[in-house]
Amino acid sequence: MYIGHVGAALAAKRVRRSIGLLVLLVATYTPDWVDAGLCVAGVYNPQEMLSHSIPAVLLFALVCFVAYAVATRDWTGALVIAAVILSHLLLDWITGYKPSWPGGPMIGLQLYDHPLADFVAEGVVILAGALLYGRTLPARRRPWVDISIMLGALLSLQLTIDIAHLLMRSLPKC
Amino acid sequence: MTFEQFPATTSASLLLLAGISADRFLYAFRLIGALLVATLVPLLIDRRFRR
Repeated sequence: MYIGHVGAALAAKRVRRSIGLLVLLVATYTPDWVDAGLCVAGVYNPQEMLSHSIPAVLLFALVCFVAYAVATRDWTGALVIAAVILSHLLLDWITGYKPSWPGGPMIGLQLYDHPLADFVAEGVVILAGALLYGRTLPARRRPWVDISIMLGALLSLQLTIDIAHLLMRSLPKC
Repeated sequence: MTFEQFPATTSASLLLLAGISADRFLYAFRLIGALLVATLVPLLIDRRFRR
């Protein structure tokens, strides 16, 4: 999943308003940031075992849970951060094809091969996240305008990615 | 490589000299760019809403 992960971060903002959106956005993309780091470091694993497998994501969630709890003393917030990181795994199983554990099977519907289906799946998550996020905003006369701006921007990004994926199917990986 | 040969090298071969393959550089550049956009766009919109 690409921009759909932002939907998870936006929904989490509704659950725990005290957590900064930047923290939630970094949390939601943690496995992808690790992936980028491994690529730059030259130790990238094509199966994404070190970044997207169940044990790897559980480890990230645990480390970030402890780090956030120690830094803020907000245990509920830390739990939300861990849940957002774990959501990456669940959402990627809808649209991608990811490793389970070393030697285990690959899991996922691989909707990336069907950009329209991918856009619909990501759009549903983005919509749900944006609606929940709207409730965290200061009261306004027309709150739907703010929600529409956020929704429009995220859906535009997702559409751009899906079109790019459609046009450039054989981009090399790391 | 001599000093005279240096200007003739392409950016791709400079990457290879640095030990980074072009594929690896492009993937990392693409991924980090996409992650930054996906992070900054909602963050900036949120900041504007809460101003």
